[in-house]
Amino acid sequence: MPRTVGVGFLFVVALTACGHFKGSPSPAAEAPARSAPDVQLSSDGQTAVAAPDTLPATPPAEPPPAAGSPAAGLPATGGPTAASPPPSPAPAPAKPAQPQTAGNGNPRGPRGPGSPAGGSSKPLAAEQHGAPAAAQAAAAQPVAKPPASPPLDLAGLEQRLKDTHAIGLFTKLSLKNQVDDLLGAFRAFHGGQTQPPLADLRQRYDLLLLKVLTLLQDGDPPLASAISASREAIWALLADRDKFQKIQMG
Amino acid sequence: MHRPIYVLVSTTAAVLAAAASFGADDASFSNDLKATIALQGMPCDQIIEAKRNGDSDYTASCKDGNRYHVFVNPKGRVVVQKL
Repeated sequence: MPRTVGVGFLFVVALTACGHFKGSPSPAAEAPARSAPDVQLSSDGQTAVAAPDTLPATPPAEPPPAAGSPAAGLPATGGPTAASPPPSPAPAPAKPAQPQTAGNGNPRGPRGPGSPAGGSSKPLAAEQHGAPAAAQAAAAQPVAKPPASPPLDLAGLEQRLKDTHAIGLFTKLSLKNQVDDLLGAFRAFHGGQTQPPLADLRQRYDLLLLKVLTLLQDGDPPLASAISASREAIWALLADRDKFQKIQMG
Repeated sequence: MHRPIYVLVSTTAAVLAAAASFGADDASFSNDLKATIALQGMPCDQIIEAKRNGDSDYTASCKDGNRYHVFVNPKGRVVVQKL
């Protein structure tokens, strides 16, 4: 009997130990429980996409529960519940995150569109401000151009014309004849001997300049552009009586 | 054996270069005459022949059949006369 009692006692102890041992496996079960939530997350998420999002979120969220694992008894029952809260919050942020993207029209609307729209709005504002600025710049340029023409180096242009190889000797001499003819016409105009209309002189001047530019534009483009840029300045010298006389004196 | 060949090749190259240079000068002068004729308002599409009559005195034949006497008169003016 005593043996039977002893064996029974031992059996009870063993059962108790086994019951107590189940408590320890529960922590071991916690490990599967931890992985279980992950698995559940993947399964609960039913959207495999949510799993990766929740995975990073759950690990940080789980460590506290793992730290809170001291309530080891809870894990067994609380594991799912505790695991469910992380998934629920995790999906909650994850799902809201996607809805936000969908509904982000409002939040990101300001961001997404905000960046583009903001960018567009800023450019728009910039354009709105830029348009007048460009208009002002365009208005300022013509004002700036007239002062740019004054630097006229008549002697320099004459020397460059003499030295250029773009025009042959006969052509240079022929051009010089025509320039002399035009200067004679201006001399007569300013002397009052004859009165060719200034418009006629301007036409002859333009035609002669056109000939020179035609001859130079292929062989000596820099000189052609320099002469073209000095067109109005040269005309101003020719049309003004005092300036013209100074040129003749010089 | 190789030296005569070298001299011959060099001479030929020099002659060809001179001819090319002369041709370039000739073309340049033809363009000069053509521009001069055009500046006087006379037609000439292309100079096919320019005969030198003297200093600053030429007879130019154009491809379109026009012929001109281009010269510098004693007053220093370039004159283009249609022949």
